[in-house]
Amino acid sequence: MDERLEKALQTANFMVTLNNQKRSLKEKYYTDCVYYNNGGTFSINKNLITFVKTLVDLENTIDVVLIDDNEIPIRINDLRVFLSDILDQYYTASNSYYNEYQKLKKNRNVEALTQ
Amino acid sequence: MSQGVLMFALNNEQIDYVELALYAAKQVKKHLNKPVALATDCFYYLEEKYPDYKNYIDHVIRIVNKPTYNLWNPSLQYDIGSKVIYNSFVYEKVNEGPELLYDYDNSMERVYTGIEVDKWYANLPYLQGQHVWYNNVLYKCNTSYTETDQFSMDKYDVLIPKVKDLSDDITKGDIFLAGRFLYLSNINTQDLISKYEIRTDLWKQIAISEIVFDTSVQYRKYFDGALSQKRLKFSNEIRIMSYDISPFDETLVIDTDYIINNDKLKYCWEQPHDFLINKNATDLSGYRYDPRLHTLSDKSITFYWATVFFFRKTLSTKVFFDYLGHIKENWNYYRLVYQIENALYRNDFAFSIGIHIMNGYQEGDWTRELPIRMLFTTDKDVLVACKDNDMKFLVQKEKFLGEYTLLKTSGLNVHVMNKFSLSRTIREAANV
Repeated sequence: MDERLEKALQTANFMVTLNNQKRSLKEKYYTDCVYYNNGGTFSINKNLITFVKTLVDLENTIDVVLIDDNEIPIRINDLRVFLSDILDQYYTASNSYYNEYQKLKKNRNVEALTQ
Repeated sequence: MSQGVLMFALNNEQIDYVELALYAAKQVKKHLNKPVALATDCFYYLEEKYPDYKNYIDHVIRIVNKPTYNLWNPSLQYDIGSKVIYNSFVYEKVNEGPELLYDYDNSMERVYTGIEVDKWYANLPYLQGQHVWYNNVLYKCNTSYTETDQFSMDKYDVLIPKVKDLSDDITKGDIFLAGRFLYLSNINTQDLISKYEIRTDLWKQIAISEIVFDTSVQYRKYFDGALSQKRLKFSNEIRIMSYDISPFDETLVIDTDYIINNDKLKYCWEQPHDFLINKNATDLSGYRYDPRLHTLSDKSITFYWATVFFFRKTLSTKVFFDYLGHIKENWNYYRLVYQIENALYRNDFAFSIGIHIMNGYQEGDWTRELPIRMLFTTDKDVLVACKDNDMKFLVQKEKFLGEYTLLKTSGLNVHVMNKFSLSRTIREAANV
């Protein structure tokens, strides 16, 4: 096989595997970003954090109703605790995602990507 | 409330579901720390091939065509070592003694034999001298009259101040009203209730229960990677019996090829909803799209994954599981109504139809999503390694039949549809 073609195929394989790993990391991140409170399921994202922070800033913090991922209204007893919890979970999940992603970027062959 | 995980293992010619179940149970113990019940039609195989199964399986449910043991009969005498079925559980007799603890013929004694009693009701005529029971007191009517809607205390003399009703909690020495007569109780109600209960001081419950179920045989294709396929026996409809089979009040049912690598499912037992199941799932290949995993057909209803679901034993979930039995029995009818192309009975389809009906023939919130994202690899992918919480797959390459790319997951629960490769990987891991 032409050496140029062989290298191109190797690179293509590497890129597919790299994308597989990126997808796997993203799934792990999404899984780690789900927060459960009072029977409700909340995906921690920028929207949720901003909205909750706004309510806290407006000092509406006790017995606040939020709509969860399943569009069910959930009463949150103390929104400050809720905000603190989701921020903690967000930092943990995103830091882990960042670290794993950085490790991935350094790898230059398929074997190293899946070690 | 008892909580646990239920799995089903019905082996076919080539797939050892029992082996998969043991591995899945090990992962359950590690991440969820809950008791595991396994329903299987290969009980003797389980005992012989995996003698240490009790380390991971807390309760075995034997699926049989004909009952192995007779139902417990309180009127019979049993020898020590006898085994019977009582409330679906197998019991072994360990001590001598009569089956019935009390002589029920002598448990009560008729008293005040000359008196016949009527319960008080509003707006009825009463006669002088009539014996009337009201609010746990026996009265004698002192004048004939017609009652209003309130009890007229001034028309009565108290005869016996404390007379219980048969439905009350009765203790030894109480006088109670049964029908129109008065009785003296020689025993407690609790003992009366236990009239036909097995004596736990004589019988020991074995961690085995038995369910009689005639599994129908279907055949389907199983792939082992993109290029190898086999046509094998497929019997999975017993899953619709989960409500009756489960020894737990709150049960998480998982497929034996669903491998748990994190503790997210623990939240099932903390949340308030009675039935949880996923309708959304992610194929880890990243490129495959099967519309039949979203709706049952082009113009049909939402698809739900029966791979993992959680239920509490409530009236509503009982109705649901009973209805699944009806769907199973009339599968061809439902298949046509819901425009399912394939004649093969699948739990995913039956559950989807059942949920649609429970929601009042529309989209609704009778079910809620499980606290996990449902991730899967198909049987055209190959699992090549499984260690700690990491799994390594060869994922079928897009547009290149028989070629694969590597994918590693870490701490993710994955539904591994290629059971052959899962089995190989489990064996390899065990031999290391």
